[in-house]
Amino acid sequence: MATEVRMPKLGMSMKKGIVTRWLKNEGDPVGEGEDLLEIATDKVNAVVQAPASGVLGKIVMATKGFGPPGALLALIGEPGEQFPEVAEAEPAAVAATPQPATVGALPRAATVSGNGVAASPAAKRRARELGVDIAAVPPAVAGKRITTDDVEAYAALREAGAGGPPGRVVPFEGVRGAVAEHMTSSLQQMAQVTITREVDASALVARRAALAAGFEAAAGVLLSYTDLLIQAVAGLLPKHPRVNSTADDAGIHEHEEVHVGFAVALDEGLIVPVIRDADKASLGVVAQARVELAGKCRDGLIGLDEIEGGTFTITNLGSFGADAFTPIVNPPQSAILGVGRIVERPAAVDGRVEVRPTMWLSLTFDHRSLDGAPAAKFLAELADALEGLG
Amino acid sequence: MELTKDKALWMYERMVLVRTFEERVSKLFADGEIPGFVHLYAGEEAVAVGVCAHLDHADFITSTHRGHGHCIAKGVDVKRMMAELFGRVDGLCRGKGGSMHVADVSMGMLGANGIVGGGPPLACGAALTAKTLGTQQVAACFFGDGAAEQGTTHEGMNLAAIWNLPVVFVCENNQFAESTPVTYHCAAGDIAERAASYNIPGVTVDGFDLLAMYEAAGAAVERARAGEGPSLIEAKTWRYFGHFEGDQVTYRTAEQSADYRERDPIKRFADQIVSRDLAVPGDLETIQRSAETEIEEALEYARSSPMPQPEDCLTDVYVSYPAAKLAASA
Amino acid sequence: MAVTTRTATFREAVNEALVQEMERDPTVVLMGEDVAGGADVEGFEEKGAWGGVLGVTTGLVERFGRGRVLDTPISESGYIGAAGGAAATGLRPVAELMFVDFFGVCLDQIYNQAAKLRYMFGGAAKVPMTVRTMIGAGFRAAGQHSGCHYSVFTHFPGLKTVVPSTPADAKGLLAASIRDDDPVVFFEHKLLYDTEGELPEGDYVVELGTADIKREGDTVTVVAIGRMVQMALEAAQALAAEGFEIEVVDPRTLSPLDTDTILASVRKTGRLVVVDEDNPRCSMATDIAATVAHEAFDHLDAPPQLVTAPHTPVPFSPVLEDFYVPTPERVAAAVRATL
Repeated sequence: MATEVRMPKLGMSMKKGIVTRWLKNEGDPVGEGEDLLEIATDKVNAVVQAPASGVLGKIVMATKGFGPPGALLALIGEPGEQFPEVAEAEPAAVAATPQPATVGALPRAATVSGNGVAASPAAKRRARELGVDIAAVPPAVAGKRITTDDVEAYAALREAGAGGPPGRVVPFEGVRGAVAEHMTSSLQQMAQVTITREVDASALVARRAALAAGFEAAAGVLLSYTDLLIQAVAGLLPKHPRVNSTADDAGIHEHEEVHVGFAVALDEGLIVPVIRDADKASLGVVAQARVELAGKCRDGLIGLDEIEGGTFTITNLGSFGADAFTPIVNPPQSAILGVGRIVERPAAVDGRVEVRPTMWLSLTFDHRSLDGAPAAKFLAELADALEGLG
Repeated sequence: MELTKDKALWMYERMVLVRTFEERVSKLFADGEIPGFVHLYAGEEAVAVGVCAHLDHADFITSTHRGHGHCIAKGVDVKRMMAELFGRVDGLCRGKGGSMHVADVSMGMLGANGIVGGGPPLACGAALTAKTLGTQQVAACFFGDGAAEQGTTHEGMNLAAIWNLPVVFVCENNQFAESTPVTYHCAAGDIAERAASYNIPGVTVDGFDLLAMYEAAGAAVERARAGEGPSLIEAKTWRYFGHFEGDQVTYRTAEQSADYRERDPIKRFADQIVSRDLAVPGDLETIQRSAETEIEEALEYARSSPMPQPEDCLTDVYVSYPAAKLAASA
Repeated sequence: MAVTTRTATFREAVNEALVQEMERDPTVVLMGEDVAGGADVEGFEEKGAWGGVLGVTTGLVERFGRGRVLDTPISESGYIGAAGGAAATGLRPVAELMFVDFFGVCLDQIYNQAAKLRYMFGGAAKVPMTVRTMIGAGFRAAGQHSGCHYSVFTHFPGLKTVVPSTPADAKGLLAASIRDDDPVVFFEHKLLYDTEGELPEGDYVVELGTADIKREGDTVTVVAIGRMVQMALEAAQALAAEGFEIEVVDPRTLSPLDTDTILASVRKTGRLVVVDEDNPRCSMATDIAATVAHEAFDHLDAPPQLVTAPHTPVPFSPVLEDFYVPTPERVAAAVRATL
């Protein structure tokens, strides 16, 4: 009797996984727990390990195939065992309870691009006619053959663009696809409002300057404004349970624990690792955790448990020179803080114009869970806390 | 049955022409001038000629793989026959049939047939046409002792009998189906006995005796033309050559062959008509010379006729069909 | 020109074509086992006992007499060969081979004689014969009365092959087959006899070698043969509900095959599904798929899908036979597989 290998569910929000690479071929012997294939979800990459020993009898989902958690990936059986024909997108697999496939250490970030995917003869002909490089055309559905429709859509996109030479098209796949889906669903499902406040950053700047050298010497980390902001936000959140909440169909979940996520920009997309119990962590712990988690993100080694369970998110575009912006809430959370750059601006102080370092904070919140006044109150308390650092 | 001088000389001339044609073809085949399979009729001339003497151009015959004699007896043009054996464009079938399918529908000759037993159903069909259209035509169906064991032969004789069709079934029992003797392959004593089971007349005739053949065929054709239905004539005969050219004929003895040659049907008929004052020896010599001349002319005609164009392979399959769909796939 | 139509069954359509052609041409004769029935039985001199095993030739002997509607012995070689001989000599016979599965006992007379005479004689003969024969599974008639086998005949040069799917096509194509100067094998699916459709009145001929688009669409080209046209049209309804409009092409004539219409459709849709009740090896399905792959390779957006019977004889038990015959669900699944 063959053992089924199924798509593991890597987190509650996982809708589909893509097979990025098979590490074994059909007919290869495999041992239980041995690395079998690599998969990618919108958030993470993972290695699926063999649930049983035997021979990899049949690969049901080929490289670049995709499916929901529970989708049949492969069958492991005895040498010479005959395997039944299985349709690739086996519908029953969607509902089935996933076979516990072990998720092991996370290898390098895998890229799933349209390049290298088979193109239909018609697509190749159309590409020739339209002067399109077939290799640049993404398939409409990951892992599926590039068709004439895909070529024509690509050509139309190119046409609608600058009118210059054709640019590279990056398909909505992997992390990019997940970000796209996540952000779109956020805007579609929530009633988002953004409020802003300019904050005098003199105290923040002074605080960082005072602590930076010591931190570096003691812990080997470079203290960032983000660390200070995380700590300040985390200190306030227990008093603002509606800001520190998540929402789902059941309603609003107010959390006692404070897990603050911070956005890390990678080439392939945004990842938000989470610092757990940030309200209870010292600044040093926060800084160390931030550095470690950001590093893991860059190296493609971030674990699923390290990116799930956040109750609030901070995104800082200050270091990229943005003054202010309207961040999008990270579902299922209810609010997100956007941080602009700290720069010297003219400020009215006691009736005089003074030049001071200031920054813009933007708080986007889900109006379904949180109204304007308490949101503004939270932002005001945060401003006070930052201005009062010392 | 009255035999006129004209008819006697015509029959003699046809037999000599068949014999001369076949002996020439045997040499041509041995010389490598004629491709493919050739089955010679020499020795059996009295059968075809005795039957066809009662048919006119509008009547039908179906033939066998050993069909040259039937063609000539039916009056088919010898030049175009020879050209067909040579695979030339002026052949009766424009080089598409060869010896085994030589045919002239305009003369009622519905083709030599490469399938043993292929002819009887076709003869029934031709007779059905005659009967349905009320034309008084008759279909003579030549088949060998080998074909006597084919289901189609039995089906054809039964069908002709129940439909009362104007068919004359003529079994040329040359005593060998290829190399297998009739004594082995046939459960019946005489093949003609089988007529009884179809409730039709059946006679066994000496196929080396043209006068006997002429008599028997005359009765059968008359019966068919009168709308009285089919008959079966079994002609006991002998082929002088092998089953096909190249056959070493190891299954017959030299004595047997010499004995039949001694009783040669052409010589025998010559004696008969001379003794009955239907011909003088001079007539026979003239006929012999004229036959030789005709065959040489036919040979010249065949040799000088052009080969078909290779692309002619693609024509004559259908009356109407998209030409592009006949080509071979690339 | 307006054509008057009435609702009629496929069986009536075949019968009407035979009447039409027999009235039109006195050389058209019918022959086959029990095409009238009761020959030589007292009281049946001027009428038939059966009119064909499924009643398709009912009334013809009453109309045209036993001289033109010939009951035959069970001698398929004999009478089908005779039909060929008659065709070569001036009649225009329509011979009925009751079930196509019986071709094993008479094929020589069809493919070696009728089909080849013209060619072997260098074009000097024509054989205007039509062989009508019943095909198809679904009658619980098991292995020797249920096959399709039109691919076998389509293989032979010299023969034309026709498989109608509607009453109108049955009438028009049978008329064309009888008038055609080449031998034609005309395949009638037994489960179609009771199906109804609009039947043009009067003289009605559908040119051989012309396909018909039974439903227009732009998503996938579904070429379906004979009764499989019904399956394709049912699948088309289900797929339309999903937003996919498939184009159902009915070749109607398999030899010559109207590849122009099939290829034009595939060039439009980029996708091909062939639905064929015949066995799959060396079949119309593989032939059409190969033709499309060869002629329209650069227009294909997906590998052609073939929906056929399995490579088995037709089984008896209803459960087994229902498994054998392609279904609308299988057609729809094949269509989806190309998307």
